[in-house]
Amino acid sequence: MLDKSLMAGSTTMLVLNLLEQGDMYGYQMIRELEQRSEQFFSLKEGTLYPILHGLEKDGLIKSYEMKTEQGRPRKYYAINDKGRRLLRDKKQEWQLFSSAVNKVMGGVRYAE
Amino acid sequence: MPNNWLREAFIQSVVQRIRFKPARNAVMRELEDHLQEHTKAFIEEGLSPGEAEEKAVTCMGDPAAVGADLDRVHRPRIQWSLILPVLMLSFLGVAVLLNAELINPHLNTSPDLVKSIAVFLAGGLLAFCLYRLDYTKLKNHPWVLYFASLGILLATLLLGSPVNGVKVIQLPSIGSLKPDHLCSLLFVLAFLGFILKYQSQGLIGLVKMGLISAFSLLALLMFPSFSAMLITLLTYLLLLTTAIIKKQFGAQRWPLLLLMYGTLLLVSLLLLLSIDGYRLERLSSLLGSTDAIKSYPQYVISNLLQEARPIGASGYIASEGFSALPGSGSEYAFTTIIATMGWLAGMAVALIIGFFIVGMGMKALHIRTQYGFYMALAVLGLLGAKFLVSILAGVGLLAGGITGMPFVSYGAADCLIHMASLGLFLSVLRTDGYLQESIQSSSGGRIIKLEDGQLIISLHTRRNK
Repeated sequence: MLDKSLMAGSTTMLVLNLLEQGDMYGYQMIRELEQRSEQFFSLKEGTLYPILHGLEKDGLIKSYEMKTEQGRPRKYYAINDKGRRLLRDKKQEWQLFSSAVNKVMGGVRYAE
Repeated sequence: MPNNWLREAFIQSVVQRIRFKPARNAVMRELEDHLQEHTKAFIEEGLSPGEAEEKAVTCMGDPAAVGADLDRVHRPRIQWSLILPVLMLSFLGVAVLLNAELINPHLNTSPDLVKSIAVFLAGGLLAFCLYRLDYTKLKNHPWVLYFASLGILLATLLLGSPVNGVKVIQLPSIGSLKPDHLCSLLFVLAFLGFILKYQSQGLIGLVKMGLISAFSLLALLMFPSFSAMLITLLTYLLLLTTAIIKKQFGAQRWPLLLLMYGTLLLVSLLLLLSIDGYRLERLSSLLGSTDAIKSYPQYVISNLLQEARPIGASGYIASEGFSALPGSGSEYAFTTIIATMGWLAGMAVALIIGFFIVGMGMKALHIRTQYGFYMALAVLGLLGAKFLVSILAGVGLLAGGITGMPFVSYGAADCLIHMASLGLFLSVLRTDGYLQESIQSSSGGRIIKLEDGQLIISLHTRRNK
């Protein structure tokens, strides 16, 4: 199981990245996240909503409601320019971090 | 079929932890949709409805933790960027009174000071009450607001006592109340409702708006209150210009703008031509800058400002005395600040006002609901126009239509009106995004449209599954 603290730092990036592919609703995002990570990311589903609402309040994503075929209201989220900028920065940050970690981990292996 | 009680219990347990009640409905709808979708998926995998629902609820995690996180996210943020400038300007108003007494020991401003602080506290309470109010209730009653305003003006004209040629209402142990700026606020609030009511009628709607606004402006002018008329006119123009640019009266925005401003110009010219020479001279003196028609306040202001120092009292006060300054704590508050505290203090005030107005504008631009946006714009227009007029009058560029500087000037009625306006603005920010979220079918439709106060973006030509 993935360490929670590692997950907590990356959820904003993962959520924004999902929304960059297209507008989605909460349940759809959970399923996408599971499928793309090959079941590696399995969130407690309720925790996604405080993240989404927080991103919306910070002006990084927008939401709108549409009716489903059953006539049920469904809330979709869409990334905006501010969110895209943050995602770009987060991705760069992540690449630097992961490349540094790989170098260190790789160094340890070579030493063995 | 599952009996849904597990799902309901989970949702209730989450939303009860969200203290900001306007956020609850949207959260309930969203969790309901999620749980229904997941339950359906588990049923398709072969679970019984009861098992499917139980498993879907378990997947959501701890409702207490989710509720606590949502409570934190939805807690209204205190708008310090707006409240702090207001507090600073209000303290400055008190400082103006205190400073006046220091410079001129014959003045006794203590009673004014006590009253000023009491009114500020009452204004704060009023702002808080309006902050908590669902301001959208006002939008369905534009005619009530409009006639209430006309009624107050008429009642004051019939029952009020004349002070300096203007009728005021005498209130025992409080003082006199001049209702023109209260009526200005009511007219503007009514105007917002009329925009929503007539926007779908295009040109006809715009003509109706023109007639309604013209009559209200005439009523304020006849009262007579040139300042309230001017402030109201500027706010109307801001609102209507924005509505036309946003194509709310139809796609033909440039012809409509031309028609609106052309009519305004024509009516103004006709009014100017219809008045006699003396009144024309008086009117020109409102904007006058020539020495021949310079008014007494303008003469004093020019002397005070010419001898103003960076810090401290103007040299003119030392030679002529403080009493030479007209309307020191109210209409000419800006002059008083420069004359008694120095022009650096004047620049600081202008900076605080600039920060406040720009902050309001930035926040207004991000408001999602249509009525909330216009309400914020109306408050911005009213306060912005008053700041502008009071600064122009304070440096002698405008001799008529003068008005108190919001939050700084001494004056009970004005203070309450300005605080009420701020309360309305904060109320819009508090509830924005939570009120009246509209829903549309997922099939077809325009990409972007404004529906019942909500910006609807339909990027979905494909199905989201």
